[in-house]
Amino acid sequence: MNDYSQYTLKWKSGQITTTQYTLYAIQIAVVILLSWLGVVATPVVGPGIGFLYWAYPFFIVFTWWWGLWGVLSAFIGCFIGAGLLTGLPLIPSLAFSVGDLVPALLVLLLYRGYLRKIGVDPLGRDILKNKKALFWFVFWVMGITNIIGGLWGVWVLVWLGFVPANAYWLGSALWIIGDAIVLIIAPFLSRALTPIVERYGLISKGLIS
Amino acid sequence: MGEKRYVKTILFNAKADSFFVNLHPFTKFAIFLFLSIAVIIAMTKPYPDLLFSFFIMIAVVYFLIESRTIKYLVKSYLVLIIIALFVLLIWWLVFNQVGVHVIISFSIFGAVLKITKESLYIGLAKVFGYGAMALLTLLILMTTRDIEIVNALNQLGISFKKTFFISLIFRSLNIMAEDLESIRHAQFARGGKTNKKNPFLKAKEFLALSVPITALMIKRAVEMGQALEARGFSKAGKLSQPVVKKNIGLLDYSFLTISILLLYISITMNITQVLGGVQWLNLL
Repeated sequence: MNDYSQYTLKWKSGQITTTQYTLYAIQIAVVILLSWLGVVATPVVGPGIGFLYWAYPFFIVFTWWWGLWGVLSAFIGCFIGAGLLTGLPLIPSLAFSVGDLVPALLVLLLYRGYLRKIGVDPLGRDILKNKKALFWFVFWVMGITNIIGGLWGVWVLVWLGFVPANAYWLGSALWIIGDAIVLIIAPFLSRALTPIVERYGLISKGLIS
Repeated sequence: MGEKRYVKTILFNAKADSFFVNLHPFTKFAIFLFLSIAVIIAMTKPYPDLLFSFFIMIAVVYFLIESRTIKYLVKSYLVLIIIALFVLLIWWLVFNQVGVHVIISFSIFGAVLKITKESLYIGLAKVFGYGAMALLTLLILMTTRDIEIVNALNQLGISFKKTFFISLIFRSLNIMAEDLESIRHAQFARGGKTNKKNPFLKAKEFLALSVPITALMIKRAVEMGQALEARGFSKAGKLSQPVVKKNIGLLDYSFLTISILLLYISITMNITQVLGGVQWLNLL
């Protein structure tokens, strides 16, 4: 039986080891790489938007595991991988990346705050075997937070004149549906690898350590 | 004589004595910022300033040629940017049904789509604007070395651990890209390659890739962490002096002045209108 109460919203829970330090840097690099791959392989609507955004399930799982470091990877991954590396300029990339930062942050807050208290695994291992966990994953991760990210991201591109205003709803719909599809990977990834990450002592019990 | 020396940059290589390679990273950042704002202003005016964006794009293309990096736009995945520009034009033509001077009109699934002189003009202005910024971003990435970013952060007085963290991200990009490629090849060799169009099947296929890449990432972090610790990383103080140290010079000031001037022009005037852009529309 897992003790979910050890995963909290406390800022720090122990020191950051050198291995964790390197891991946090490498996971950001992985999210940058996957963000870029997702955008250039399946472009839709306008610059920076890919239908199958492969980085999404990764930064969700990294957020479950490493708290704010996962949120940071969502933001930097989108800013550099889906923004700068696809040719989107600095300011649009920064504004656009909030569309990944906010969902990751909301996922972190709900899982580490409320869900662990009602018996849902804050690391997402039980999504495939617990109906309550499955409901929250579909409702919150695939639904609400994903919708917020999609509506924001495409709105920024419309506002900055990259995407025609009439294409807003279609663009947002493609973003949201595409992300929901790739998010199917997240529960499998968590179930397969969380025990290994735990065994190495690499899970952050607080927000940053 | 005539030997072309190249330096390894964040993306590919660039000619060592070219203008952009020799600019200070702070200057490049400022140019990037000023010109991005200038082009966004030009693109989003009620009457978009097509000529301004076009001029910036031509200038950037010149510096891509001068730094010998233009070849990567057609030889590498960056060619996707050119495709993206074309897709962007289509989106603007389809979803921006404005204007009365119809060039061509056709029907798709019962809906009448028309391309007007006005919608074509706006579409081209958007394409040149995005193109200018996309190429400028790539020019900077293709003419900047990762060590220069680290040194620039060091010059700003950012602590060793933060600077090293950022350099680790840049250095891990190539390593993880190679790891991803190796895993893909290993899976292809075992019959894992498919050309599925169904996005659900594609997601399922990607799942087979995602577990090994994450496991490998953790393995690399553990190895790197141990190697760093063996060299006394947690006890380390300040970063040693940069190997390549750049100072801000005349070239930097010249580029900065031009960028600020271009930003001023973008804010205060519309070059296309000044040069009679309305009459040009009638020539279409």
